[in-house]
Amino acid sequence: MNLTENYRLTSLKRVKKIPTGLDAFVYRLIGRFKERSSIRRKVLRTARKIDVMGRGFVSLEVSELKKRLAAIREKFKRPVNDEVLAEAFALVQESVLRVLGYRPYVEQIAGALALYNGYIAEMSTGEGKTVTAAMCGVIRGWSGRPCHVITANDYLASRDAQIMGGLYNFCGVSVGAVTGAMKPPERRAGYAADVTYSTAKEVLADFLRDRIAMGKSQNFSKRILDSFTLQQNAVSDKLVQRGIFTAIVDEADNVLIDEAVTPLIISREKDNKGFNRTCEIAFELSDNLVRDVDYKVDVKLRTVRFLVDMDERLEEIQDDLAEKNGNNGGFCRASFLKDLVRQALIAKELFFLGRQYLIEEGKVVIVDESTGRKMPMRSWNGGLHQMIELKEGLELTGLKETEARMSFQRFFRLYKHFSGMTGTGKEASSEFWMIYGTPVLCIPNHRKNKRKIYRLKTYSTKESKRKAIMDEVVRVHKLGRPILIGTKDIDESETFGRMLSESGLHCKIINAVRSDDEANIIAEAGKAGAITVATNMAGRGTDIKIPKSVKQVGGLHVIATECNMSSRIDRQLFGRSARQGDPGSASHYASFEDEVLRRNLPSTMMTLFRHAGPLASLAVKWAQYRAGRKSYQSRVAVQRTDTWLEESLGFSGGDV
Amino acid sequence: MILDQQRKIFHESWYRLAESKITLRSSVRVHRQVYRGVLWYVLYEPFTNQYYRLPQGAYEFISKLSSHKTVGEVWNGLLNSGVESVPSQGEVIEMLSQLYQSNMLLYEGVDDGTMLFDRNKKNVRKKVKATLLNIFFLKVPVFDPEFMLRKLKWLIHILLSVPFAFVWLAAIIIAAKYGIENFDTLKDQTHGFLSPSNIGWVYVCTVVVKLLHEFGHSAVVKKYGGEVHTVGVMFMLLAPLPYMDATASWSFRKKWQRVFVGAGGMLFEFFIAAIALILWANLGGGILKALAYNVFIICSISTVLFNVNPLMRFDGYYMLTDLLDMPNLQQRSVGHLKYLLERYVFRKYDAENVADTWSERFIYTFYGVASAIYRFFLFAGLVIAISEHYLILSFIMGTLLCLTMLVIPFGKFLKYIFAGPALAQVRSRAVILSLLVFSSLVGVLFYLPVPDTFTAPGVIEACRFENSIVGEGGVVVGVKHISNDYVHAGDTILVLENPELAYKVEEKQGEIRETNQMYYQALERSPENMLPIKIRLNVLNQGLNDLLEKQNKLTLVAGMDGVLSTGDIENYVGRHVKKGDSIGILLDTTSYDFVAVVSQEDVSRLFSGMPHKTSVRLNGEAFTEILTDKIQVIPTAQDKLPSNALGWHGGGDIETKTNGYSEQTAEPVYLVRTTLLANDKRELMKHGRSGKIRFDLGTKPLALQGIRKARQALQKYYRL
Repeated sequence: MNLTENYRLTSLKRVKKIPTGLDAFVYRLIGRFKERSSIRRKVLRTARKIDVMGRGFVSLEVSELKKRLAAIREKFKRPVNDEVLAEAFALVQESVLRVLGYRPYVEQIAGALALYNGYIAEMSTGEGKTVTAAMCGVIRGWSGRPCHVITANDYLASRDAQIMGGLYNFCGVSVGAVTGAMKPPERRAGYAADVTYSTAKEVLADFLRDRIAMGKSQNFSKRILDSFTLQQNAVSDKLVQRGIFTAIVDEADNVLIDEAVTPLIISREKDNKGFNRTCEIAFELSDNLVRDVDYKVDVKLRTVRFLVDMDERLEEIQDDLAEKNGNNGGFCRASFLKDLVRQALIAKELFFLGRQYLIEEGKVVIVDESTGRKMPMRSWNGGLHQMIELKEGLELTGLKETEARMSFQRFFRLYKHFSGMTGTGKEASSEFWMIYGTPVLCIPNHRKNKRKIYRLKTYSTKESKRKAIMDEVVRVHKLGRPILIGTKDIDESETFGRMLSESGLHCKIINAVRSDDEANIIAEAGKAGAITVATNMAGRGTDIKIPKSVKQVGGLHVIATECNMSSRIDRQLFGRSARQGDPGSASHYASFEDEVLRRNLPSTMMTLFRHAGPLASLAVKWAQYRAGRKSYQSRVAVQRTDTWLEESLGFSGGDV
Repeated sequence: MILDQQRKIFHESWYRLAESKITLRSSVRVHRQVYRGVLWYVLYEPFTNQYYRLPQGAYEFISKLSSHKTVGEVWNGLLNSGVESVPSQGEVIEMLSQLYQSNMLLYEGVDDGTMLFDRNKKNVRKKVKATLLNIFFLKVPVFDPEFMLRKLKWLIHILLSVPFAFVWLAAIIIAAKYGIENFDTLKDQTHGFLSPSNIGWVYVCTVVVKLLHEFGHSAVVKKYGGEVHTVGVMFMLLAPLPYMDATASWSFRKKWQRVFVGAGGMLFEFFIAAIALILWANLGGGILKALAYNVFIICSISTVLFNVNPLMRFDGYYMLTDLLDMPNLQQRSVGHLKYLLERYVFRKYDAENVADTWSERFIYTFYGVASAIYRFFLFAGLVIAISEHYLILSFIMGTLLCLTMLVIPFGKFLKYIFAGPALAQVRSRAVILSLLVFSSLVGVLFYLPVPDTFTAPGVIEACRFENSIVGEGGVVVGVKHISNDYVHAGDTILVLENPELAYKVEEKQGEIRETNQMYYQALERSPENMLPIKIRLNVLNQGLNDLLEKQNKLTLVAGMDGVLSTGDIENYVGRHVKKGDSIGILLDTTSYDFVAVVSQEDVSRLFSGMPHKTSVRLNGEAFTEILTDKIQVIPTAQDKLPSNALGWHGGGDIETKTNGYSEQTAEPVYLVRTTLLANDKRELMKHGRSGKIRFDLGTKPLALQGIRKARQALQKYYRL
């Protein structure tokens, strides 16, 4: 490892504090200014110029083109001026034509320029975002500094790396991919490439694991000093990343906003007999308590409140307990026991099998309540996990001890060059700016959008809504149009699958349980007469291509069976139809029994809106607004904790 | 705090500390202190002059930290030992982070330079902000007086010795004697205290007194081995005054030592005041006497309003906190009030309680409310007091006061209600309740009709009364009626005797007889003389009639029905009374009038519309309301009061000044006359008795009434 590489290993961008109060107001104004439309016009103008320049390279021989590419590549080792950059984009555009067989549009060049300049480029679905990212990736890759292209899932990471591999090779850039199942050597190889395709989770997890491996030598000067003494390079073998420099985030809203609510935690299971024993004691103690006499359950705040003085009760017995448990009695102290008894009660009263968790192979598996996805490897902390295991009569696992923790918000702000793409960025533009410091730039569509979105239909019960949806499916199916039914969770998708087969229609289902052949099913979903039921997240990033015959009958019809917590996700689902100028349509449904309404509207409002007739769709809008605020607040809370930790525990070693 | 309110045995961020080796810096000193029977440890870092207080359990943990063990090892070790209370991981994190912020930790690893600067910048900014918010007590440190205090050690030694304590006591006793003797003179001179001619001297004296006061604190700190490192200028109410930093006393172990430090300033000040008072009492006059007076008044005012008063954060407050063993009383009181609000009004069940016992709860509640009210009124009063002399200054101060005491707290409250993380769970309730309270307050102020009344002082007059005036001087021979007798018109009250008058009558009668003789003689002898004699006779008769009439007047007769109100006339027998003397008043007690004096500001309200109801309450009979008839406003301004009892000199409320001989009102006033009704309360009604009349002008919302009052005040004081 040479000195430069050693330096880059831990050189990060300094994270600026997120402004608050009046500063935030001013900062927001600056953000507005940076998103002004003249910037877009300027970027488009440059893109057109590049396009014109690119046409000049059409006649070049392949060898000549490669020579030009190699020459310009050298220039990118140092900062470049605008002309060099324009030429580089023109050359890359030509390379795309040679390798992939089509010429990127002006809009795609504009998108790539925006990415290069650190914007979040808003490009509609189906505008060819993968190529756009790759064009920017090539140029970033030339600098030799690590460039990470962040995709929404493992499948997309490996697929994009594969599809674009030709282009990268042509341009002299090595490309790699890192996915969840990979072992450290493979990961190291993936990160060693100039451009690495991966997911946010993997990149952050590897980053944190590297940091743990580095231990005390996270500081560059300390590493240099250490290298003069004994401990040389012992660490560098364990590391997988080369440091972080450039990030291009595909589906930025999903990665940076929807998934950024919980920080990533690297933990290690540690056996702690004393603690487990104390958990058992606390669980037994909690059996003696009576609901509404000794404690009260607050369902809304998801907590348990004691009605009696637990401290006093526990103080009486703590010495006995500690004595009885000898060496393991460390936790038998009233203050700790009180907490654990509370956890036991929470486990009993507020957590239910099938809703918050599942049991697989004798282990508790957490289910994400909002997305309905299983989250293996995760566990609750503070003894709650143990309590649930006790409740279900499972063997107690050891205590999970956090080794490293970082929020996605903070992580992405460590990149020196950060940019992203999204189909639906405008709604979240202020958050992108406030938290990540990246302005959003709208790139116009290349072809006019022909998608027709029908008015939101609301029903009072889920049952009546399902019936209406079935009617619509039958009606549209008769026309021979393919239909994609987007559901919010696994159960709902299964329900629709059953209902469809009962009415004699053939359908294919994609959800977290049956995710084997996801990409193929999605690819087939555009065929005439196909009916596909999928959860919202399934098959992201895969184009649903429709044959000519389908185009004539009106293209793909998307049905959203339920409104999501955010209208952005709804729009993403609609974006499945009518891609790249094809015809298509989308309709959406909501019922007053849906989660988004139930959770976010006060019950009085619900009854009010239920009888409001055409105004009922307002209720959905409002509920979505409230849900958005709620999740925004939780993201801000994550952010605040980050800042607080950094400010208060700065002495504990490590930059991050 | 951002970390979870609940105790967390395990904390997510523990990993950041578990492997670190952290210990207290070797320069940190630890002092043991007992507050209300509970043991605490105070950590003190002399380099930065910062303090941090730890409970025993936490200290137990901190004390075990060393550069050989990691934090995780220490915690696990403590867990498996028999120690009673072990701080949870969350608590350790919070504690260590605070110690880190106070620069008290020694740790391995490289500190991020930028972060250090950031922290410093943040601290500086925080200080500036605190200074701006506390603009009335802005402190600017100037120099380190430690070396000076060391040189003055001999003086401190003398001043804080037992013999000097006796000197001190003697001085105070002598001064007290003078003070009591000359109390009235002392009081009378206060009027000119803040006048522009004296204000310069007041300021000079204040600086000197405060310097000595601060020296008093420092001296006691030095006596107990503390160090004083900051002396500076405090802009108290914008006036620069010296201050010094006695925080070294926080680490004193004994409560009484800390109290003594707090009292030190005042003890010195008392001594100065005593000397000044003795000087003042013994000096004949001149500038020195005036200065001594100033010094004395400054010492007493500053002692009463600021120093001894625990409701402001001055010496008295710190002494009280030490005496009660309740450090941070002010913050905790605010915290407790906030807790009460959150817990009982917003129903946040896990609100953080700061008070443990009932006595603490009581003290916090009481102190919190009392100090807020006191402060507000003190500042408002000061602004008004200054505004009488210095308009622009008071305007600036008023604006600042409004900003620091109304606008900023209100803004903070809004932020707390609408965005504060503490109320996250009960936000909607908090917002709705606050809006409800606020809007109902506004509603009550602006829309709820409240009786619009005002009062004016006045006196009772009998509607008809007559002075019984002696018509002719004489010696009293008989008293027919005494005071409080009811007399009818024509009844004799006094019978006088005037021998001189009797002689004159006799003389006149003799002359008449003589002239009659002469008339008859002339009739016989010389009829031509008859006419002149006849004329003379007429003249003489005339004279006699006059005299007889005078003699008649010697009997004092009641001119009208009424009650006689006189002094002790039964003892008048044998006494000579002069003509024109009043021996008393005859009052017609069938009805009484009330004559009220109404100021210019209020009288227009009477002109614009008749009051719905007027009633009178007499002084000393505040609970008896006497209704009155229709009022009659005498529509000319006057400068004479119907009774001297209403003016300042007679102990009344109306500002008057003596203009040579007569007393005049400072501003023109109007008289309002009305007849008192209610016959059953006749025994209360006495001619000349003073009272207050209350005009009920119907109803009007409070806010509108307040706005009118404020406008009148502005017009009056600021001439706007």
